[in-house]
Amino acid sequence: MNRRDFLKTTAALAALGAAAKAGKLFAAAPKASAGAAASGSGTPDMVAIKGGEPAQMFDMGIRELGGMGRFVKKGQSVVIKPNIGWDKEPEYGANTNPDLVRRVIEHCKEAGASKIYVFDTTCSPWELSYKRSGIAEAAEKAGAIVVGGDSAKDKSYLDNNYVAVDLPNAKSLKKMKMHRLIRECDVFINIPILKHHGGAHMTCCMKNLMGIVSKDTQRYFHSRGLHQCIAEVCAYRKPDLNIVDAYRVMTKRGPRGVDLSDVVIMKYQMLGTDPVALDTAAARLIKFNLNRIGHIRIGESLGVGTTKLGSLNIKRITVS
Amino acid sequence: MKWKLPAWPRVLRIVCAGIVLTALTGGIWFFPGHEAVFVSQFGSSLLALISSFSLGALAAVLAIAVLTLLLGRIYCSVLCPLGILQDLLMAFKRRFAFQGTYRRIKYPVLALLAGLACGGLMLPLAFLMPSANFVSIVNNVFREVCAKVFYWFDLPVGSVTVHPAIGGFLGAWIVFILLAAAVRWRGRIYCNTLCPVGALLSLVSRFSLWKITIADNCVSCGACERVCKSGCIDSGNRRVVNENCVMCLNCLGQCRFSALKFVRRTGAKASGTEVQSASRRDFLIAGGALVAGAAAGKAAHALGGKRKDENACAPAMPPGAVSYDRFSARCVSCGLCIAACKGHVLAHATDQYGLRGFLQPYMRFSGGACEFNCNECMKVCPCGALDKLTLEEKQHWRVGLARYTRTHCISYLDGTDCGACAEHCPVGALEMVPYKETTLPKVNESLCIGCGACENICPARPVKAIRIAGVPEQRFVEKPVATQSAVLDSGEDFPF
Repeated sequence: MNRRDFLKTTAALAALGAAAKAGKLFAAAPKASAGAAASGSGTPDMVAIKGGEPAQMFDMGIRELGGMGRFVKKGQSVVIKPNIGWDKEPEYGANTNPDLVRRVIEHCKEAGASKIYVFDTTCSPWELSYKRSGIAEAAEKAGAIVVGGDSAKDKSYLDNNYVAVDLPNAKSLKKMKMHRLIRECDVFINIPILKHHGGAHMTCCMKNLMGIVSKDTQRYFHSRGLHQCIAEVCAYRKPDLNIVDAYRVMTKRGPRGVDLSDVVIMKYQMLGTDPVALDTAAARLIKFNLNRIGHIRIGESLGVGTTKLGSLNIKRITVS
Repeated sequence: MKWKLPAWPRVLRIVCAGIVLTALTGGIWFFPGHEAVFVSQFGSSLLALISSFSLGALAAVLAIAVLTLLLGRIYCSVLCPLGILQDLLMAFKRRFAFQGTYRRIKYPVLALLAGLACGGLMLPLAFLMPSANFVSIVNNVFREVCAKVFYWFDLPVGSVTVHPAIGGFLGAWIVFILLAAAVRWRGRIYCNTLCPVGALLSLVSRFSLWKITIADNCVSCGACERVCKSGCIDSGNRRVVNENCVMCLNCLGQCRFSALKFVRRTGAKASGTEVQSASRRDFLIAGGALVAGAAAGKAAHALGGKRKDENACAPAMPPGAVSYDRFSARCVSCGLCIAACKGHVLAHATDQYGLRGFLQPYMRFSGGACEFNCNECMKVCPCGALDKLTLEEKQHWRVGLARYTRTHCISYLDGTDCGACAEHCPVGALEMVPYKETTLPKVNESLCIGCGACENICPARPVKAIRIAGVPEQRFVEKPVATQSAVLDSGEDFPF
């Protein structure tokens, strides 16, 4: 961050504080009509919302899940893992919506989180992706600590920030280097963006966790069976909360995308604790063959979650 | 010897030099994006003026020429970063002596270098360019040492290294050590024998308005001679060889009789200065060197100029290079583009271009890939070797072509999904087509720009399954049409 960014951030923080004091920040969410298919009572396993703006849909979704206080207790540290993989603008749907990231951070702050980190091991150089995605700016304005995620070029960064993890019971991923924040944090929130993926067929909750390991380990994933490794990293650290950004969905030529024709504006969002179930729903949404997406199947067999959406209590909301 | 306050002109020179050195070092190291400060360099700006006219370069060249006409080679002491670096290396050398007039060797050297460059062989000129060597020393010596120190002491400082290729790394260290040795031996000897910029400015400074002169009350004590870094004061004969003087002004405070002065030249022949007149022999030697250099350059072009392995995997040149003949005859291998490269893909060549292109930048895809949203290399090139394409133009400018060998591909060999190459392709030139249980990439050559994102990420070892072959002529590929995103009908029901 240069001085100008720092000044901007400080100014924005001050403005934010003032706004929060005035009690205007957490204004009531707009009216919503519960979908006809809303089944069961009590806290749903998954909430699916369509038709709204990303931040607005999150407000509604997290309320259905029992509020952020259910996941983040006072004084806990939080790591938020959006997809910041690419040096592309938000409208190309390659990275998580920055406004959604901002809103999630604000909810975490309200719930009393001590420290909120935002982090991803990116594909493009991290300085570029963090900036162009708009996520670094949005997150800093909202009061999160933005942590750089490149591990390929800077050996001292790699050694200081990534820890070696042994997974003796894993089939493919016996060893990995994972960012230390993921192990040290109390709450781990995963905010993937739903995209087509040339290698893994689809990227959503499970594939997004590939961004918590170092670049060497990512390469290892590709050379030793991508799907098996993705499922195993999810089994090692299942996120406490997953928020699927399916507002702008890259339906082809993913995960990087080429132009705007790759993107369909779907205006969806799904929230829940089960990454396998969310990925299953996402695959239905994007109309991909579930059997081709190996990591979902393997994830279910490893006990990460279930693909049987019928067994879940899903709350469906359409924003009118 | 009595202790004296340093004379103010010398202090002024040191302050100016300090500011310039900080700015130039900062421009490549601490404040990337400010490489434009290198327009102040006479050599590279002159080359830029010759290869592709620009107003900035013209202004810089004219300003420096006028400055030299007024004050002599002050450029060598306050604007040339390699000169300032030598002054720093001189901190522990206290005694100098007059070095005769043999330093006129610089003119034939300049003529030879110019001839070789005209003939298309830049390598010798590149090796002796002061600003190019400075950039290379900062990037490959200072930054590397810093990176190592930070790493050893576990300091929480970001990456400072530019991950030099072995050729650039060794080349810079050798130049740095040789330079330090030369300084230790004879002060600013490089500036007066081998430096092409020094030689050019010497020619101009023969006619400069202000000069260091020795008056008649000189007692030939030698106090000034002992501090003269360029060995241009001959105290015994009470004369100053002005064209060798780099205007360090160290001598000014030394004379107890104020016999040594920095004054405006009055007559055609001021006392105590010497303008060595060029003889016919000098002209013949210089002219001969020029012609011989041009011939040798052409010969090197014809003989060793072919790029290694024209077909299989020729090295890709940085964007804007256009063709190797054009690029190699302009690039002085300074490495500004290498330090500015956001994708960490540019590196000094060792033998990739053949011997002729030693140290010229090439794309080393094992280190990185050409970032789609970056055209820094073209922006910073100080000598006009890279055409200044806009970012949009560069995004559809082909520097190479991807070639896929499936017998190395993990998906083909193991039957597992990978797709890393297609994942990273910024132009959608790689399509994953079904093959048995998995998918394999297929290159669409009409779209590929050769950025190397695919080769960089390919996990296959030891040989990557997808590799970039540089194209001999860089050119535009199909221009994309503007598109829009579709909007999903919100009336549809939830699909799950």
